[in-house]
Amino acid sequence: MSKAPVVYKRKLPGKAKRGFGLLNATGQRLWLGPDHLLVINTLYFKERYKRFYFTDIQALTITRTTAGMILNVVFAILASLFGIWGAAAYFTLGWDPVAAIFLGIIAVCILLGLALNSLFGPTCRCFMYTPVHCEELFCLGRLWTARRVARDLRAIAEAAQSGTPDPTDMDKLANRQSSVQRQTPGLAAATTASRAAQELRHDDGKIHSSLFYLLLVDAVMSVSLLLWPDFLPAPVSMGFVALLIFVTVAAVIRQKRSDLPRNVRNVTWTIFAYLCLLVFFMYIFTVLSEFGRTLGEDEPPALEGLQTILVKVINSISLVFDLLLSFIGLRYLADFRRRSAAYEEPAAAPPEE
Amino acid sequence: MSTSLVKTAVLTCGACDAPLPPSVVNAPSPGRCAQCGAEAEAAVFPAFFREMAPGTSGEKTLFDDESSCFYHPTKKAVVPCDICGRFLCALCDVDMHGQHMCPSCIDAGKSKGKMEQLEVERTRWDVIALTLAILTWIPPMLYLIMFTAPATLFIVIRYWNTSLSPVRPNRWRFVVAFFIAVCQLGLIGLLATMFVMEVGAYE
Ligand SMILES: [Zn+2]
Ligand SMILES: [Zn+2]
Ligand SMILES: [Zn+2]
Repeated sequence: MSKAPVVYKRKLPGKAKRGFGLLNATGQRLWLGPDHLLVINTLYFKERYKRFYFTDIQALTITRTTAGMILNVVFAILASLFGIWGAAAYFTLGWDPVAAIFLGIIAVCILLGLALNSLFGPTCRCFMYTPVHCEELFCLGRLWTARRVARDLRAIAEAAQSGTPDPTDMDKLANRQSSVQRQTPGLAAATTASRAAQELRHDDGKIHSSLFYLLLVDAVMSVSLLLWPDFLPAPVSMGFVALLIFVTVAAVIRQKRSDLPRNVRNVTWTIFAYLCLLVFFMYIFTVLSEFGRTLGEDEPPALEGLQTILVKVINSISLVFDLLLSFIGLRYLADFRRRSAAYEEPAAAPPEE
Repeated sequence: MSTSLVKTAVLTCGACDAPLPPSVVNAPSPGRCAQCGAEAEAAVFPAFFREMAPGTSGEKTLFDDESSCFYHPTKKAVVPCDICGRFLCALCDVDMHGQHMCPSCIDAGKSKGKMEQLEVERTRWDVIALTLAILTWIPPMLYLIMFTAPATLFIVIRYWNTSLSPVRPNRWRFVVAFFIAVCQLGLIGLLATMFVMEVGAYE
């Protein structure tokens, strides 16, 4: 521990963030020091530093995830919905071209997002193992970057630890990995062990399943509204969205420190993002209709057309996402319930080495 | 973020937490997780095979290459500090509401700003100053300029010697923020002079 400042010569690539938008998005950067890796986590104007010495780095794992693909599917659905309604407005339904152009611009922006997301490549999660814990390097969220950084870190760690592991050690590791795998069909032993160590609460997923069923109800409402626009007064459907948001927030709070699997938790967060999007479009719709009302008789037909078509867009968005998210959520939840039901008995038996 | 000790004994899949099949460890090309089928790869280094069991009373390290406590080089590390990531022995580990903390991080909570190597958290005043200086050019904020410009100058002067990035310790943000704030003050002065002259001409 000298008082001379440590010089960090190289910054490793990787820019992925964690957290939700402006709310709590945490940035992370990796820097190479003379003998350690500096991990900087940034939240607003606060920086937190963690130092990992090269001699303590035990392992790196990279697992490809489907997050990027799911995001592309979401972008594709949104873009095609806006595109279809824009084209319908222009060619068949006889609405004003202003509405079609408005929707077209939104569709192009979404397509741009899709192109960028594809350009960054597949997503992944990267973990670094030390003798006492396992740190997620969440800035390495894209596979190609993660592989490049892992290759560099591997060379550095092997240089610091003089070489590669013994073949006998590697055999031992292989035995351990496969024996743990055999012992616990289905859910991993490591998961249960770490669940016990972190004192995670068991959650039966009641709030989550009610959220997914509410989404199905919302899908039915959206179909009705698409077919008969006056089926429900606007305050009722807005009230229902408010109820959905309330249940989603409850589910997000509930799943914290619970043993619900990651895929169920991710679906909940996706529902939250989708509801934010829905509220945004409903807000635009309300502003437009209020504006139209102040104009009264002078309301231009373009504005009226835009309102009519925005209702259709909102309802088709909610129909597609309601169905998609509730089916995926219910499937993951059923998987989890089946696994945890099958897991009760072996967990009660005393652990054996 | 940080997970517990048990997880380190086995390499697990980042997507589903199942143990990774041995075929993906130090393999030339990525394989697949046996449970979820995700493409996975793992690199293992010699440090992985240093045997280590959790101690309870600050166990002594038996071998030279064992990880030791940051504060007690002869004692075995059992857990990293959740704040600074330093390895701690059972004696140094303070469990506060499920969060493991080291003595220096607890101390840092009381008095901030000490040696650089012990530092675990910094507020980037240079980033704050620059953000403040730039944000006020956005039209609705423009009226706040007579408050934000002096505030920017204050931050630049007050925090000139602190809070720089440990990786790129330069002050360009402070300098730019300073010039922007000076320009803003100059603008206010100009407007005030014009106003006074106009009033004078009117009289
Ligand atoms: Zn897996
Ligand atoms: Zn100690
Ligand atoms: Zn600490």
